[in-house]
Amino acid sequence: MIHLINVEKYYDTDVGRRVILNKTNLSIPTHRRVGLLGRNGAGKTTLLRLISGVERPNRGKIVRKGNMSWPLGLGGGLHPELTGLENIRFITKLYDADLSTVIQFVEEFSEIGEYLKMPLRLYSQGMRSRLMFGLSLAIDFDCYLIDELVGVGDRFFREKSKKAFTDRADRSGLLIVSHNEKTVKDYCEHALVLYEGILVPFDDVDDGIAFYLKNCELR
Amino acid sequence: MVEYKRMDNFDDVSSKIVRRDFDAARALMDGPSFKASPAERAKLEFMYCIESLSPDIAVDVAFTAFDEGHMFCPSFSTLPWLLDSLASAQRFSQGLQLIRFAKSIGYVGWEAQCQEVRFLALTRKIAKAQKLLREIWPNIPISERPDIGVFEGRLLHALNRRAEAFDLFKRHLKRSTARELIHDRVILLAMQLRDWPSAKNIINLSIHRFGGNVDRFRQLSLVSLALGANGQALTFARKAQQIALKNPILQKGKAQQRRKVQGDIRDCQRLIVKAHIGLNRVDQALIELRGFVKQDPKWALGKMLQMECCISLGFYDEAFEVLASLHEQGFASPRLHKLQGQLLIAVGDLDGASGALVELKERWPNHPAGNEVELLIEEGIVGDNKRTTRIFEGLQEIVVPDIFLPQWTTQDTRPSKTAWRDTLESHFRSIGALLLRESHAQYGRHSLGFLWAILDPAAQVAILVAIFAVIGKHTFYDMSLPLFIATGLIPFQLFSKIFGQMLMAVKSNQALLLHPRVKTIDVFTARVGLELTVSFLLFCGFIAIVDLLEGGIYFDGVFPVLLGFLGLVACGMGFGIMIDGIASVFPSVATIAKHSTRLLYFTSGVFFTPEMLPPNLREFMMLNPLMQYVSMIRSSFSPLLDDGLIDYQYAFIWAIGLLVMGLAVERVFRDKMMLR
Repeated sequence: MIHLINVEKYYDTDVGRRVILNKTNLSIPTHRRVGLLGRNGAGKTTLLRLISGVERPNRGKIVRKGNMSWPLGLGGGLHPELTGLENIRFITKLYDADLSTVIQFVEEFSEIGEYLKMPLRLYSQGMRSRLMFGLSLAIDFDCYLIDELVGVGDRFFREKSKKAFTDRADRSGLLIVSHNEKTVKDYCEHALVLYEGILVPFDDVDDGIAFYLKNCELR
Repeated sequence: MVEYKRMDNFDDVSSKIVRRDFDAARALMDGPSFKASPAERAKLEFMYCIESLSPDIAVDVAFTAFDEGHMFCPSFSTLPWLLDSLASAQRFSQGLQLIRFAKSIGYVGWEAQCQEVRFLALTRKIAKAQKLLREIWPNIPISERPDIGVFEGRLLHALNRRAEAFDLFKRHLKRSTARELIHDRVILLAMQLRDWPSAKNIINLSIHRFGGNVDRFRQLSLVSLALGANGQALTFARKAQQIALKNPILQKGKAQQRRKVQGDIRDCQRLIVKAHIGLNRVDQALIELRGFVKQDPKWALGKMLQMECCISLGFYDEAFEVLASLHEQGFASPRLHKLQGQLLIAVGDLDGASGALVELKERWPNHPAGNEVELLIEEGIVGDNKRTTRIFEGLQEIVVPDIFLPQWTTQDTRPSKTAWRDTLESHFRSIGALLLRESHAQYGRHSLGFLWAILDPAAQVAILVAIFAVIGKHTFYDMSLPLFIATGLIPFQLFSKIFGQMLMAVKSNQALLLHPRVKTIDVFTARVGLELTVSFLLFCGFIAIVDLLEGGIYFDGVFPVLLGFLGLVACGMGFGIMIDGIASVFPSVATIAKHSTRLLYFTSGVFFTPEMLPPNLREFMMLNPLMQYVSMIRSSFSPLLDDGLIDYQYAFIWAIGLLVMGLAVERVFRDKMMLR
């Protein structure tokens, strides 16, 4: 469970205060698959950073129960100067996992091969996300926080990762942040829409998408 | 003779008047032996009145004198006083006459003209007054312009040229000495003209000058609402409400007065609610409203607001209760009907809503509320999507599904008893992982990495040794040249390396900081730990080699060495973090700091000891804490070096101070540092 207790988030910029989230009281289930929809610049990524604990809210408190992944997004969490293997070693040490099983899983899942011994900056976008998915799946998280990442990679890899996530749906939940309603529809059961600083919850993902299309896109 | 006697009389009386012996003067004047020409008599009478402070009679005397055509004129210095008394006695036309007379005999400065304008205005010849004022404007000294400008503004206002008037007020009010009443009028004018920023300035000005009262705070709140500063509006409305609630009239005044104060309070409460809604805190607004309505059960507007909030939050039962109580009160308005319609739509009773609409249209056929309800009903029928009925702009009625309902208990919000242990463990794990990464990045990039870590300082020491050897210096205070240089250079380099590492720590680990478990402080600690270990091992190795080559060196006490290293590490870490934190706001600070620390290389005792310096320069150089630490370390390696020159307390106040400052800066700028 992720409890948002009286959470408020805003940035004071040169052009005035930009509110990301008004005062919110919600509990987000971590054993379900939840999609967070919002337009570009609505503050989705910031919200995910808040939820994961990288950033702090301006007011209120976020209580996390359970083991949560880092926000899996483009270029986040892996160091570009380190090699694939070094990154794996870093993350297994950080999350206290068993190195050999993780390496084995990543090698099988990500199909990167010899590139594992090269620094990450030489990887293509797709390879990087493959590595990241493999890594995060190798470590048993209760909930995966994913930032716009599931659309990356070729068709076969997308199929593979979707299958991997649905296979473990009974064990771990998902929180996917996206501006693409199709991604959310494919992966999620429930929806949250970030709309003008309000986090609107929907039990049914279709309701959420309808609300998103009605209020956010046609403006 | 007669002439002389009369003069005598005159002087007598005037001297008595000046001495304020009024009875005697009066007796002399009224006495039979008093002889004077009418002009002189008038002069004396006038003087008498002025000195005895009775301007009314003085004016009469003056006018009689004018009427009779005597050669008499009151002194100009008394004129403003006379005119003021005329104005306060509301004898305006006489005042005008007086000032015109005074002008005719040479009282023609800007003051006289302003007085004329004033009396013209007082005799309601306002257009003429304004025109005259425009003409004489260039003659008015700058110091007096604000007041007179405000006066002209009042004239224009009276002529109903409001925009021009307000322009003048805006320009002059701040520097004028205008009364409270005028300020209040200007505020009203500003609000009529909807010039909200100026209105805010003027209200603030009058609060500053005359203190805050209910009206001013209420107006300020209103203006803030109009400007969109809802938080401020809330604060001011609360202030106004509190002042109004303290009004003693509320307890013991007459019914009519009490009603006025009650109205003020209601108005403030309305503003509070509006501000809450403006801040998107409808739930707060509702809580406040419940309290207000409980205190003041007959407040129909408040109840309607309560209904609005209830509808938007989905508390339909409460909304119906409020509706019933309003009906009970016998209250009816188009707005209430509209709300009733909205409420019925919200609960899905479209027929009921149509009924309310029909009634509304019958009673108020042309009211816009009717059309709104009509629209809402249409939307309700067409969309049939009750979840998103818009009540307030930007906010929907949100039905929170069960799965997202708040589910925490108070226990969840408190840290558990073993939380510190988890936190510590997480820090250690993250530092461990980072140590791995840092050692890879710095020494594991290629196979010569660790060798380079040894060769680089060795080469530096070798170069310096060579230079000193060429100069001809071979020993310092019983220490051999390599030992002397190594004990200075390696500790100093520890400081400068740590400082540099701190500046780059966040930047080069940005990607890894995305892991919630990796905190900025872990990155700093890992880097410091690695650097300290490497440097210390290097130092020990160096000393050991020198010891071997020279066959035994002097060494007493490991403590000064350890303390010196700790101090250097603390300073480097604290200073580095501090500069990095400040640089996240002012980026140039980092460059300046980097260049200025380079100077420390020459002033921190790498090539000299305090003993080599003349005493007054020594004292000055020892202010540098790095000098203290380097001397501390070196003093263990020679019996001739005196650690009495070292001030341990001073040195460690620096170390602890810098460390605390660094950590404090990190705490404040943590988010900024990470987002850079």
